[in-house]
Formats: sequence, structure tokens, C-alpha cells
Amino acid sequence: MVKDRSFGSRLFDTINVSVLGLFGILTILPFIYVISSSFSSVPALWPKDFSLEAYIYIFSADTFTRSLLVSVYITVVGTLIQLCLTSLMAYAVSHKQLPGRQVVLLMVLFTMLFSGGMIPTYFVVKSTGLLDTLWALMIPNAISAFYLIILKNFFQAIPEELKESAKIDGSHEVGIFFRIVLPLSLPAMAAFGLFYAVGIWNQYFSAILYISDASKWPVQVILRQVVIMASGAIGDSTEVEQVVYYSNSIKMAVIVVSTVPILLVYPFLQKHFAKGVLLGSVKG
Amino acid sequence: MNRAQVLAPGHACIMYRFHNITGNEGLLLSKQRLNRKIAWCLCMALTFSLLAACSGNSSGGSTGSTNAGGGTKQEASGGSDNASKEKEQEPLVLSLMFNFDGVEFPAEGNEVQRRIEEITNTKLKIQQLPGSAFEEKLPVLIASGELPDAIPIPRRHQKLPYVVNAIESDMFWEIGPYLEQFPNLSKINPLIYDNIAYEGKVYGIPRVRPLARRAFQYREDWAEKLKLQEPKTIDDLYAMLKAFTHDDPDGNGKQDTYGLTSKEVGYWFAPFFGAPNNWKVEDGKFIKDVETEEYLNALKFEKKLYEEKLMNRDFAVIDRPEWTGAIEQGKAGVRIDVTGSAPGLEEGVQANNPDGKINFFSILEGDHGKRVFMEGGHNGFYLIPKSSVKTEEHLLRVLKFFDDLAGEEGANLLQWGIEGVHYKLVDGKPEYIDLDKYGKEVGAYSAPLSTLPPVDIALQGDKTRLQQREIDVIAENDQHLVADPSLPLLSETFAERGAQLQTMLEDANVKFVMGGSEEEWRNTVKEWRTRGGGEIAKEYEEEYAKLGK
Repeated sequence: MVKDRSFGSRLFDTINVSVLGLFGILTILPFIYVISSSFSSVPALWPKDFSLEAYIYIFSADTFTRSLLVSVYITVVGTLIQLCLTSLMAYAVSHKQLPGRQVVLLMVLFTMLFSGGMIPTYFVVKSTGLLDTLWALMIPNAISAFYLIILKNFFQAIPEELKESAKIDGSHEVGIFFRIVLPLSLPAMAAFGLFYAVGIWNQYFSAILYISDASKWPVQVILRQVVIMASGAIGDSTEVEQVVYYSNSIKMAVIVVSTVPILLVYPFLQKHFAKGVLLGSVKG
Repeated sequence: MNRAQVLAPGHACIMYRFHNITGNEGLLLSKQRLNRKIAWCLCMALTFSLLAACSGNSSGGSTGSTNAGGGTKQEASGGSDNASKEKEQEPLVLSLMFNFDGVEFPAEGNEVQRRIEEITNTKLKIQQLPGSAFEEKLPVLIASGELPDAIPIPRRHQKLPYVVNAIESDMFWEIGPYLEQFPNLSKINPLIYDNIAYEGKVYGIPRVRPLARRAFQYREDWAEKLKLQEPKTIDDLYAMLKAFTHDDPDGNGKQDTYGLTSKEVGYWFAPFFGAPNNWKVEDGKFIKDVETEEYLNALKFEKKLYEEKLMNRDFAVIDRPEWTGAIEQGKAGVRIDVTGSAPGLEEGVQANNPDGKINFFSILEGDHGKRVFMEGGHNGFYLIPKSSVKTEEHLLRVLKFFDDLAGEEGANLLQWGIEGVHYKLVDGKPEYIDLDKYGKEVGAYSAPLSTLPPVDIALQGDKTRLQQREIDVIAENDQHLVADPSLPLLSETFAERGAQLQTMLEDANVKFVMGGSEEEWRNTVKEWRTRGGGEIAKEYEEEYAKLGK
């Protein structure tokens, strides 16, 4: 520590802290607003007439609890499927000696730039019999081309020597993958797992498209419906007179309940992000 | 994916607002998304080829209900009363899909649904979706050809390209020629059938509602207190708004009220100043409302209200709850909505102020006599797809379902529910036992499945003051309708660019009312014509001449 810091350095720190602090506040304020409004009779930063009514209301009907469970289920299972498929494929194409690797990569790259579009994708989902099943929310986007390529590069960066060492000890490729490569890639897996999980958790449009059975809707579909109804911008086919208007606190409570579960995942994964796992693995 | 978001904001009854639907397209043009744009083009090309394929191949993509029409030949000419014949028939398996915006749809096999099935001799398979989700999904369903036996097209989608294309590629039955066999469906006002016709042919069964239902709702207790009569002319209304703003109608000694809470401008006052309903035809030429002096006069009236602070300042951005809240919380005295929403508003007012009263009217008489704008007269219409309903016999039975439901027995069920459960008879008049229960258990069916309004056909109960008022106002409105000549007409330019063009005019209106100059407004109108308004007019003119009206 340098004791006599210059005025400039202290000024820099002051500005730095206050600007970053301001940004911090700006990001956290909406959360506080939403959470406190959900307990309050009027939207406010601090609850006015504190009540749990909104939460009691949304959990009084099965709809919401059920959709929450659906969301949790597809997020957990879907993320596992996605991580599994993405890492397996990424590992395969990370091998330079794999025949046809360039062609496969080119095809993957192509899907990054061009997608089939909504209706053709719908046909694929329909003809593979996924329609109206929860698989439709997990399978079609099981591998993201972008994550695949990053993960491939990550695998390539793992020193060849480590894999050779395993080979010398008599391990086959699958063993190398599970015993050497995967443990070393935990930070990457954690990161992509999070991305995938958030992606699945937040999806609503595919649910609307592929799932007609209301009991299989994830929470985002319900959330969206509540938010739309609360703002009065109802669908056109509904008569104005017949609409149930949700109060502001119910809207906010639904937002809270549908956001918090996925927020809770962050702290558990965060510790994996900063780990320098490759340090000291290869010497010489 | 944004493309399919048909989340029309705001008020459900404003014909104009829906043009925002395709407004997202502009976003797609940003540089990073150019690729996606190309992809979209490819995708759209593919879609159309698939559409063509679907219509060419009627045997593909059918759902499970194909066997349903194979029973004995339907004798549809009989009314709903010859039960003996129906008994011989197997119940028709009927798949339906419609919007539901409540909390929880009634469970399968409930009593109400069983009664519907009994009355119509069907076995229902219902898929319900939230209104907004339903509207997003509809284009995909139609493109994929996987449709239920009948599907409602939302009113604002009537002229969207995906519907028009599907109609033109012969995906749906033309039901016009069969209607006369159905005693109830043929009772529907021919004006409404005209409004939903495509090139003069009727494809849809409309969910009927009043033709003109726009209403000025005002605080009757305030008016009484200030000794004001119900406004009969524009000047009366102006005086009322002024009094509501300055004469302390709530009697709290503070000037904390204002006259009108408005959600948008440009439409409400046009009929009373003599402006046309969207378009008018003169010697075969189509003239848009904004191109008439009368329309500008109406807009100037709103400008005056705004300048004198007789209406809310945030009319351009306000959302529905705030807008309604202004009346309910006693901040404003007048709002413009539809006849049917008055009872709900009064309830809201009385929650804050037990003495509060609402009344409403539709027509302000001006120099041009009594005028009121006619809307489509329906809230969407059911189309019957050929992919799921393959034979004529099957079609007749699907139509019969709607016809039976519009009969007396069906209407009673939809309007009142089941006797002893939802309503009881007091001196021969029905009375709800528990309105909430009715709403939950019957409302989910009655709103989406009604064609003729059940309230007119069903048992007549005692009417509240506002319900009676609604009947009277609608009856009077029907005498003074001004039609929108473009309603049954199609325009390609409108389908492509109508939304942007309409937004342009709406923005100009807002700007003008909030202090813009008349010259600027006139220039926008001119620009509107050169940027596509002129083509729309021309296309309407051609269509209009073809229909020979």
C-alpha cells in the first residue's frame, strides 16, 4: 500500500466509486420498486399499506403454482439436455483429426446466420410429434450454435498433453472427456448452463406456439397474460366488458414470483466463474 | 419472432389502432439484423409455397375428427325442435379453439359444457388460449393447416394478409349459400354479413354485437348537482366539460377535477361535425376522413378542449386502468367508451363514492343532424376450415352447432346458466343466484361461443337502469348509422402499409391537438396521400366498382 496517494489518484477513486455506485443503484432500483409494489396498495419504492394479498391471490388458483412447476421442470431437465448435447458435440468437433469436421462446422455456422423461421420450425416440431408436449420447449433449441463454437474453442485450448497423459494411462476418448476435459471445463459449463437455464426459463413464445394444453404452460405465459391484462391492453377478441383487471400489486407479485427462482441460481454458479482451473496443470 | 406479435395496444373497440400490428417490421432493418431480414424473406417465400401446398393437398394435415361427418345424412332444414331425428344421430365430435381471458377455464366434463353438448348433440373438444396468445398463434395455425373444426378470427385480423391469403387460397368454406337452412343464423343482420364478406362472399359466422356502441359516459350525479341536462349538442357537452372542470362538481372546495378523460383523439367527435366514417364515396371516388374540413373541425374542437385544460394532458400515452381510474376516483367527469361498459364503470365509481352515478349517450346533434358511426357489428367471426371439415354434411353439422346454440334453449344456457345452479325464476323472471359463479362457469363459454347475442333471445330478466339505457341507446343509434364504405373492401396497399400510414395520421392528430400548427397537419395529410393513401383509395375504388354498389 502506498500511503501518500496523490490527489489525482484519490479523485479518481472518488469519481469511480460514485459513478459505479450510481449505476449500481440504477440497476437495483427497479427490483426494489417491483418487489415493494407487490406488497403495496399503490406502486411505490417502499410498501404502503403492506399486505400479502397479491401473493395469496396468485397462489389461490392452481394455474400459477402448476405453471411454476412446469417452468422449474423444463429448466432443470432442459438445461441438462442442452449442456449434455452441446458439450458432447463441441468435444467431437474440437478434434482437428475428425473427418468432415469443417463441413459440420460450416453447417453449424449457417444456422447461426439463417434460421428456418417460425412456420417451418412449427412444421418440424409438429411432424416430430413434439407438439403439445414439454419436449417441444427443450428439444428444438437443445444446441445453440454460438455456445457450441465457444465451447469448442474452450476445449481446444485445453493442453493436448493432458489428454495424451490420459491416453498413456490407457483411457479411451469417452474417458478422457468425462475424467479430464469435463472437470477442467466446469467454469465454462457453469456459465453456459446458466445461459441455457435463463433462456429456457424466459421463453414464452414457443410455449404459446407449440403447447395448447393450458396445464403445460410455463410461468412466463401466465406472467405475460397478467401483465397484458393489468395494463388493459387485452387481446382484440375479448370483449372489454368481460375482462378481469388485475391490480398493479398482483402484476408485480407475478413478476417477482416468476423472476426470483432464476435469480437464485446465480449465486450458486458464480463461484465457478472465476476459477483458474488450468493453473499449474502442465509443467515444463 | 416479433413479427407475429399482434398485441394491439389499448382500447379494443377502436378500429384504427390495430394497424400497429406490423409496426415492428421497421426494427428488423437495423444493420445487425440484415441477415435475419434475408432469412425472413426466405422463410416467407417458404411459407407461401407451403400454403399453396396445403391448399392443393386437401388430404394432408387433418385432425382426428374426420369420421364425424360420416353419419347419416343431415337434415338441416329442420329446426332445433325435432329432437327425435337428432337422437338417431351420433353426437358430432367438434373441436374448437378460442380465447379465454379469465383465471381458470372450467374443467372438462363440467355441467355447463355437458348441457351445451346435449343441446347441440355434439361432443366438444375445446382448446382455450389467452386472447393475446391466441392471436399470435393464429397465423401459424392457419399456415400449418392444422386447425380445429371452427376457429374465430379476431375482428382486427379480418383484413390481415394471412387471413385474406387463406381465404383466397380456398382454405375455408363459403357458408353464405347454406345460411338460409338455419333459422337462427339467418336472423343475423345482413349488414353484418356484408361487413365480414370477402369479395362479396360470406365465409364467417359473426359474433354479433351492436353496430354503433360508442358512448359518452358521464357522472350523472355531478351533472345533477350542477343542474346540467344530458348534453344534446356539442355545445352542451362543451358546457358540461367546462362546468365539471371549474364549478367544483365534487363539492370539496378545491379545483381538482377536469372534464374529459380521453385515450386518443381524432375519432370521437368526427360524426357530430359531419365527417365521414373513415372513408366516404363521392362519384365513385374515395375520400379519407382526414381529407375533409369536417374532420379537421372535430379535431379543432379537441384542440380547444386540450388548450382550455378541459381534458387530460396525457391522452396520448395513458393506459386503460389509469384512464378508467380517472373517472372511478372522481378526478374526471366524462369518458368515451362503449355502451356496455357503463355498469362496470358505475360499480367502480360507487366503490369510492356510494352516491356516484353514471349515465351515457351516443349522439350529439350537430348541423348535420343525428349521426353515429357504424362499426362492423361483430367481435370476430368463426371460419370453418376445409382441412378439418371435409364434407358438406360435416359442414352443415358444424353450422348447426352454432345455430342450435343461438336458439332459445342455447341462449338461455349462455345467458343465465343452469336453473337452480346459476339462476332461479322469481315470478317467471330469471335472477342470478351468484354472479361470480355464473361468470366463472358459464362466462367462459358464453362470450366466445355466442353468435346472435343471447341476451336478446334468452328469458328476459329485470333490467337495471343502465341495461335498459343501453337497449334504448343502441336502438336509437341504429336509426342514424353512418357506414364505413371500406369495411367490406380489400386493398393490397392497406394490407402492406396501412398500419404505418395510419400511425402517421394518428401522430399528426396528437401533435396538432397538443399545439401543432394546422399547416403542419395538412402537410402530413398530403404526405399520407402520396406515400400510399392515394393507392389505397384507388384500390378501394376499383373493388367498390366491382361489387357494383
